[in-house]
Amino acid sequence: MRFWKWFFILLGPALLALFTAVMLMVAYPNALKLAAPTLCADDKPDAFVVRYDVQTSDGTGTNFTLFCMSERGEIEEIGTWEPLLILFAITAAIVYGLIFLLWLVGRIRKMAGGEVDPMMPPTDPLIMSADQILARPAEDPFEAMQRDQENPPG
Amino acid sequence: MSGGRRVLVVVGAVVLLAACGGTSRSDFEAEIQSRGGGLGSGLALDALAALEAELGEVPPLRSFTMTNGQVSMEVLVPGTDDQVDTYRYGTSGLYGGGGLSAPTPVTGVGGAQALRRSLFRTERVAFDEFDQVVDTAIEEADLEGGYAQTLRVDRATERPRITVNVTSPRESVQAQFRVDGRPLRTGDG
Repeated sequence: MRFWKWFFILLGPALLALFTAVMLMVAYPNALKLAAPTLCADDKPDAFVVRYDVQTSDGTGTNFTLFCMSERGEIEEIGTWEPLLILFAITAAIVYGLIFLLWLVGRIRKMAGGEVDPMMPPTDPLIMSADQILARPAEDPFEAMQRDQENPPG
Repeated sequence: MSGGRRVLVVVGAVVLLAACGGTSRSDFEAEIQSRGGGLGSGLALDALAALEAELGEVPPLRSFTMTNGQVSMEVLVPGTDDQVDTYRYGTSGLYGGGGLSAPTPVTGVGGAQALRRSLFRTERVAFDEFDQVVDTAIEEADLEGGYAQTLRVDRATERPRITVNVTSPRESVQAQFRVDGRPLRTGDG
């Protein structure tokens, strides 16, 4: 169970970041410009996200690609994948940062006043956590009593 | 919210999210042209470096033609004296392909004798002066909205020449230069 817990803590935010990055690119293509300071050469500092149509099997699609331009108008195409990767890295850093902050706040609260850690599972007595469900069931007191009657202690 | 207004909001949101953003190709090209056309030393030197990396040397050229983000080089095939290949070098997949292309053979270059007269060595050409050459050509053409569309080095006459084609929506002007980058006046040989 520990494995799955860490799996979701580590991979969940990454998947969320990937989804957010792709949605950002689709909704606001200019978000790709965030990658320009990293990917554009010093002599071509101006970034443009160019929209162009492509023919696909079921009609026409629109693609976005990042260009860097010099002040003379010289161009260099960076493409789509590398800026998207950087957009994903930025989004992932924000998501993991938020989670770390949440964890830190929980820790500080716990140390300060013993309040509930927001990262911990709920402690409602009617809700069993996965650990509780999978743990070995506690010994039934009735069975223990019966066993004691058959083999009286002492 | 009424049904009609709700539909309007949804349509508005879809338009806002899906249709906005990005620069259209025509606006992008207009931006390149307003900056002078994007021809210069950087692209020329990159193309020669790519050719040298591919062949191990830069053989004599028959022509060197630059357009926006693209260079086309007619190159004497190493080890021969009557065969020419075209290599293309580009910085954009959208404008003709990125990197150095595979060679394609050129037909009709004539025999070795005729071909030799149309070849020139790259050491003689001041590729690092091309920024200046293009700026001078645009300045001298003095066209409203003019930009450098092509730059070509070839040896149509006795000596190799640089020809820059400056164009605007209404007019095109050619400016010629020596291979060292000095402007060529009418009557210069």
